[in-house]
Amino acid sequence: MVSRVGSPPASPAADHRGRVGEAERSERGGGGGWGAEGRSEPSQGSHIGRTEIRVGGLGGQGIILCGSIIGKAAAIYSGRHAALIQAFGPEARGSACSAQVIVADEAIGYPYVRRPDILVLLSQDAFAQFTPQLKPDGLVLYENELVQVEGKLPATVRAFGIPATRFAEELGRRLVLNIVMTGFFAGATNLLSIDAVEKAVLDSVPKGTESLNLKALMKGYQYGRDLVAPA
Amino acid sequence: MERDGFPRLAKLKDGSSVEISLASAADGPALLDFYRSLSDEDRLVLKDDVTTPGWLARFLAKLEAGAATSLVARADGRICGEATLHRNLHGWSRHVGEIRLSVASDRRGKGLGYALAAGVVKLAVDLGLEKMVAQLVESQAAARKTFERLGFRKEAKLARQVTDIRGAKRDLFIYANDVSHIWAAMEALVEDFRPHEGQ
Repeated sequence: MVSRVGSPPASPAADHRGRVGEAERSERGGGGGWGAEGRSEPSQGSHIGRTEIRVGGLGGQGIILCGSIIGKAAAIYSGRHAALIQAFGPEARGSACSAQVIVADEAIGYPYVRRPDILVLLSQDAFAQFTPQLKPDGLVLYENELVQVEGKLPATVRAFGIPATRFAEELGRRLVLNIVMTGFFAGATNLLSIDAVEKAVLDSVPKGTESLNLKALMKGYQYGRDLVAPA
Repeated sequence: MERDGFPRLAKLKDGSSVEISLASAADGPALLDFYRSLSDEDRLVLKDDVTTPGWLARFLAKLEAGAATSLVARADGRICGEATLHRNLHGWSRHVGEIRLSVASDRRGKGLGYALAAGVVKLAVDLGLEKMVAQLVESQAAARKTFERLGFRKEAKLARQVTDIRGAKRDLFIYANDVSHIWAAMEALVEDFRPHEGQ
């Protein structure tokens, strides 16, 4: 099932009906390309072009929330444009689930992901389904206790794994697995500033859970930064 | 080193400030001094004899193992209050934490107990605990009010469970705070099944 993309919101505030919302371009936001760019924060107003992201996993892993937070961080807290499309199976839990997120400097005319630049994967099925569409120089971020990638990716693709489930369990709640992955995305890609992602997390999670969710975010973020940092 | 938002300064009702920090093994001697400074009557409502080195060794071992998390309040270089979250790491009550709270007599009525208890409740939620309990004697009116302000409700009464310092029998109340609803909201959020969205 694929949800329809909603109309562009009148204001930069999040449209929770499928589309994250498109903020008017401004120079206040962060964002600065993705990939192993060291430890620097995304620079003000730097060009990110159009980045296509696919988050894939199983229902109940918080895939849609992960995509929604990335989109909110871009559109609401970085002054970029973002679009989110969610897809899920017929069951609430355990069926395939994915989110398509596009983050761009310019207005997004076509909101579907065709050739993802980045895959964020939390299940082996999602790996099998989405890696054939990945750009040749794409980036794969995966939960390394749930997804096996060895020998299954072209040499030109970069892949980074994180034991996000274990980290979430160590923090006290397996439930925050998706937030660990969101932090990992922020740290490994450098696409959005961690401040923007942090605000998007705080804007998205229920009252009373903020503290643990922020810990989960920072755990993943730091792990991502350490992985891509120059030796 | 800062961890879980501690250490932090807490402003009390009388305008004074105390520093609240996570307890560690280094706080052992000061903790023992604090508990030894409490009156016999105050110590009577505590579950353990907290004045002995044996108690301290067991307490520090629980801290080390993660079965206890403790906050200590300091003013003028000495500990003036302590709150501990005790939990079972295994078994059928592993989702439950028990809060114990002690405040020096000269710091009572100033909001220190509330600040310590609120800090421990936050730690408990962060640890993923779903329910917190506190055992309070009927005579501990101020402490009961403090816990009620934090969302605790009287869940059970054990009649004539406590013998006070004068030999009188007192009722013991079990106060509880179920915080599972907080995480139920998060669970709903990660369901990934939202057919009502995007319509």
